This record gives sequence, structure tokens and C-alpha cells, in this order.
Amino acid sequence: MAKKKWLGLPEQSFYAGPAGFVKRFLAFIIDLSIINLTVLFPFRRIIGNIMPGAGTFQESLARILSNEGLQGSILIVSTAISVFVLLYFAVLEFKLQTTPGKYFFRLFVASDGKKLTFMQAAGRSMFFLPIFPFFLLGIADPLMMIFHKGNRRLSEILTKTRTVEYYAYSQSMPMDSNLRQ
Amino acid sequence: MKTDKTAKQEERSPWRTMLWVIAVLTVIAWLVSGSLSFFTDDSRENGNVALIPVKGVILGDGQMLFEQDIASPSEIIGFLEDAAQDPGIEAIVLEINSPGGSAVASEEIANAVKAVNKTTIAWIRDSGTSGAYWIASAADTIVASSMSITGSIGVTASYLQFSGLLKDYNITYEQLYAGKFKEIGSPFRPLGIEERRMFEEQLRELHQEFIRAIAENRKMPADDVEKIATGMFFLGKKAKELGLVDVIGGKGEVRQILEQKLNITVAFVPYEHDASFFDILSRLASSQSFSVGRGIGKSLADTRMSQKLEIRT
Repeated sequence: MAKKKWLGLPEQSFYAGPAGFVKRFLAFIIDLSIINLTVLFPFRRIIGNIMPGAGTFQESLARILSNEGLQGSILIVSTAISVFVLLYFAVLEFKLQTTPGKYFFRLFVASDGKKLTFMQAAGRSMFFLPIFPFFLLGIADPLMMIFHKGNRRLSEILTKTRTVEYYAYSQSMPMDSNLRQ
Repeated sequence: MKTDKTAKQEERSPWRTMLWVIAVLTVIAWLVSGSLSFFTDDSRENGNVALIPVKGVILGDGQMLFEQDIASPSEIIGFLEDAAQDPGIEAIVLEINSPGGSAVASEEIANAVKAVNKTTIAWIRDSGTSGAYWIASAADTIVASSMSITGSIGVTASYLQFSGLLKDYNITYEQLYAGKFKEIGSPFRPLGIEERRMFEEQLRELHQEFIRAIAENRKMPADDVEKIATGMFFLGKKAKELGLVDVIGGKGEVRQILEQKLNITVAFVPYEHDASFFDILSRLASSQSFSVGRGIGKSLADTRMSQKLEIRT
């Protein structure tokens, strides 16, 4: 906690409130860009090999639907990619309660009450997996975030976590371990 | 109580930790993507002519043989359907190297070839006889080497009959059945005259069906086909004279025909059975076991000596 003066009043005052939708969206874009440039870069060659070449969308789709081997390859590669994306978010949120994109906007992940566990951090990002029923969260999460009072995603409600923004009365933003629950 | 230095260190550490995590994940991703290339199929999108193998004895699904090469109708028909629906595939080449096999399986594959609405070429390698020739005849064009063996338009059904051996060893075979011809084809008693006549009648019908299919596919008079449908095989050169083969040549001639007919640059796309890790393991294990029992296995697996009655084209 911040230092207290002789009157018992804290030098700095801050509180954690729900993170804004726009900031969260922009933070997500930044994270995806970082993921695309780093973690997913090795998969570009293999994606180029297995995905159909030039042609209209209908032609590519018809080629994929007519080729079970190609479907299997796409599933394997997309599952591998989604696991790495999930690990990016899960590991960083577990260790630091934030990701580069979130940190840029001073957003953090907090657990309801207890210390954030790895399972909670991973559960928040399960919608990346192209496996039923997890990919359904990709539709449910943003819808819930739009209509929920605290801008919480369905995944966050299920994992008892929330993305918060610290509103401080002073300019310094504490990175104190006490802040992490 | 925290010092400024500690506070600054803590403020820097998130970026360092983030960089470490991203670096480790990237390295692991490189390793995984490299290994994934062994498990993914990336060859088909680069070609425009499907090359579908018909190799080995043509057996119906569920039938087994000690031979390693079996042409499975469900796999071949699956490849044909895939190639037919793939907009990138402009023609289909059946690479045939088979002595024939099951009449039903051969007919199924031939019908699937005829149902394809794209240019089809049957390229006969060493052997394309009997049921394999039935399949080849369904294609638009047949290309064979002058030394390929083809033809053998006939039907055979043979089995070992052990009644003499049982008699020598004073073993009695008790027949219990309901239905006059239920025991027909039993290896433990001689075939009756009426039974033989029935069998041969059915074989004749099959033979006629075979001749009819070849005549229709090759657009030849049925009588002309019947004259050469003695079960005799022909070398490619003779087969061309008889009208069973269109072009003498090999892969180069196949490519030439397609490029002239379709005005394309041919790029073959092999359609192959994707062996899983367990397929590879079981193949290794079975080839080892096969080597050990090779002599016994071969003698037992000779189709002419099979106890089970099977009708083959």
C-alpha cells in the first residue's frame, strides 16, 4: 500500500475499475500484432504450403471442402496456432497480470478475491481454440462485453476474472506486488 | 519499504519478462511448425492433374490378403470424388499396375471413373488385366507400354477341394444343411454335376456382364469383344491392334495428350494414402512378421489355392 502521512491519509489514491471497451479493443489489436510478428511468424511457410493458391474465395473453399487431407492439415495447423496464441495470453497474464497491449494502456487482469491462477488465465483465452464448444465463446464473449455493465466477457465471468484499469489520483502508477491479488 | 531503485527495477521487469516469454514461445513455435510439415499435406494445391494409383489386387473392403499391395475401392473412389470436386484439378490419370481382383470392386471403381465429369486417362504400367482392365476401359483414353500386359477378359472362381485327402485319412465329413444348394462350394466334398453347371452358368453371366461393360466403355461391338474375351492376356502392342488400348507410351505420352487436349501445362498431383504414425508403425511390424513367415504365408495366400470360393475377373 502507498505510504501514509501522519494523518493516516495515503500519499497516492487509486482504485481498480472496469477497463473501457475501446482501450481493451486497442490493447487486443496490439497483442495480436505482436503475436503475428513473433509467435506466428514461423507458421507462415506452412500456411502458404497448405492453403490453396490464387483463385476466388468460392474456388478456395470448394478446394478445401473437396479435400479431406487439406481439411485435416488446416485443422492441425490452426489448432497449433491457437494453442500458441492461448499460451501467449495465459502465460503473460499469469506471470504479470498483463500483456504488452494491455500494459500499453495500463490494463491489468485481476481475479475475484484470490490470486490469479494459470488455469484462470488460460480459461480467459479458450475462445482461441478451434474446437467445439470453445470457439463459440468467440461470439459470446464480445456480445456479453457490449451488454454487461462492467464490460466483462463471458470467459471472464466463467473464470472469475476481470480486466481492470487503475484510476489513480496521482501521476505515478504503482507496480506493487500488493496490487496483484 | 521500497526504494526508488527497487521501484524502477520492478517497473522495468515486466518488459523483460514479456520479452522472455515471447522469445521462448517463438522458439517453440519454430520447432513445432517445422515438425508439423511432416503431418500436413501440402502437395495437392500445386498440381492440376490428379494421379490416382490402382496398384495391387483389387479387393472389396473387408477382404484380406497377405499381399501388401491391395487396391481398395473405397480409397480409390474417395480419391476420384475428391479430384472431381476439386476445381483446381482439370484431369485425372489412373496409374494402373494390377492383375485384377474382385468383380464387384472393379465394377464399382469403373462406374466411379465414368461418373467423373473430367478428362480421364488410364495409364497401364506393367499389368492392367482383368478387373484392372475393366477399370481402365472406363477412362476416356488408355495408354500402355508396348510390353504392358493387359486384357485377360474373363472370370475365374477356383478353390481347393479336400475330399480326397479326407478319404485318405479316413476322415468323415458330416453334412448338415437345409436348402438344396446351401453346401455348394464346400471344400470337403466333390462338386456335384448340377452344382458345377450352376456355378459355370453364373460365371458365364458374369463374363457376359464383363464383355458388355468393355464393349460399352470402348465403343466396340459386343461380338468383337467376345471374340477376344477368352481370358487371354495381350501385350500392349497387340492390345492396340485389337482396340483395347489407344496409345502406346508412358507418362510422357499421357502428359502430351492432356496438354494437347486441354491446352494446359500439366502438373501431376499424386493422390496417396496418408499414412499416420500408427500406420507406419504397424507397417514396420507387419513387414517384419511377413519376412519371418514369408514362405508359409505365400503358399497359404496363393489365391488359386484359397479354400474360400471367390469369383475374380
